[in-house]
Amino acid sequence: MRLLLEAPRTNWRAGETITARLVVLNDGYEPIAFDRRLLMGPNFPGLPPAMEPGFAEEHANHVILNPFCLYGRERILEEAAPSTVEVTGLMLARPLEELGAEGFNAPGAVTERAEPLRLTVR
Amino acid sequence: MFHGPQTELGAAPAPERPREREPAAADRAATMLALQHGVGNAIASRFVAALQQSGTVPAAMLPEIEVGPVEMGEFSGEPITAEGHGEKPVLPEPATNEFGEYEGELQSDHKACAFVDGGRIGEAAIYWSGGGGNGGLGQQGLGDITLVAPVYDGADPAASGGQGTAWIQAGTGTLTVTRSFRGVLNGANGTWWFTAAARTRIDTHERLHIAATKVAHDTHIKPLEQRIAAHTGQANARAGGTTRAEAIAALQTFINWNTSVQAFRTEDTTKNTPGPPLGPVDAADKASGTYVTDYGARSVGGTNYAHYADVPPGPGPVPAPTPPAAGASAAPAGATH
Repeated sequence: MRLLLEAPRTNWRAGETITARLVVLNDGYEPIAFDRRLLMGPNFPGLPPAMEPGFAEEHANHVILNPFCLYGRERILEEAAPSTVEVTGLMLARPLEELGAEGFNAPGAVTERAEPLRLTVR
Repeated sequence: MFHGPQTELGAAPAPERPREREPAAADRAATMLALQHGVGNAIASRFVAALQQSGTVPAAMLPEIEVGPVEMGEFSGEPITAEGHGEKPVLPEPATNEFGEYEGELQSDHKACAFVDGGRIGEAAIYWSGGGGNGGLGQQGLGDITLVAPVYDGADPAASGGQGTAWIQAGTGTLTVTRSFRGVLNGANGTWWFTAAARTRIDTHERLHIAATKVAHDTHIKPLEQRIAAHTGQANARAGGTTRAEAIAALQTFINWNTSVQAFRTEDTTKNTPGPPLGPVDAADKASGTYVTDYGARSVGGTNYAHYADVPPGPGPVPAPTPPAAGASAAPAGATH
């Protein structure tokens, strides 16, 4: 499994709404499953981390991906100011509320990180 | 960006809207002011620019708005960013008094994302929502402190071979650190929706900044105040040197005003900086697993919001939609092929 961050382009103009997507790619040859509640991102600096709500049925929170299939999440940053924006994404090992005081900075709290996506706003 | 209730698009043409009488100049100015207040200067500017480009707006209307030169695709005004605060904070050089000691209000333009102790002075839409919201921000700059520099006085030795004395004049040598913050609104904050729990959590975060400032104050300013108190007034004069001037110089060294003030400002700024990179207060709290989280686009009360801010584990789980049965047609009833 790989986490990928994507944006329609890397250069943006000030005031535009930036769109970024965090993609989970099953790049193996066997089906995989993950909990949608553990995927965090795409995260814009200064904004709260991006998650998604869970479903009442436990099984509905588990996403199954066949080989070379995708799952993703989109977030926007409105009215970007001139700067370099680093977008991040990661997969937690356990739900946020179970991570303890150090949160996702704790050792072993993150199982996978996407290569940060750097966007330029002029 | 405005998100309104979704409606079905009908095939029938929309009824023609009756033309309105063109408002008088004063009315137009009031209308523009209301528009700027309602949706923010940036959106209002872009709206006017688009009208200008399309020729809809009479040229006589534009000077009243004073949006400045507007090109296609650009807008005037200061965009609010997710970073919120721009470049790394740089502390301005303070003014000094006759003794070369920092004096006056030392302020910085860089606000902490949140903190307190003048308390919660009100609330407004979260600053990162666009449209000019300024909620969730500290009201003072990082390292801000109001100073009345010490004024030193002294006396030569009473007898030959004795020591000079020095003291600080009463009413001088005071330092005041004030911190307050503006909270966020419950519910709609521009394109963001804040639950009551998320709103409260922002306040908690702001108070962490205040606490960090207080630690810096207690580390650097409180001992300074104690040194000043011990030598304020001639009755508390400190002996040193063989002349009045030497005694004053020795007292200045002992008080250590500038270094202490600068140490406070540096620590306050370093701990509370919104970055980039995030200071330790923000970094620890935002990774805590209890901080406000963006649960994405969501409809609340029939209005669509781009971001639903709540605290983990987020909004109450709802039953998952049932997938259509295998082999069932996804086409709506009555559809033709």
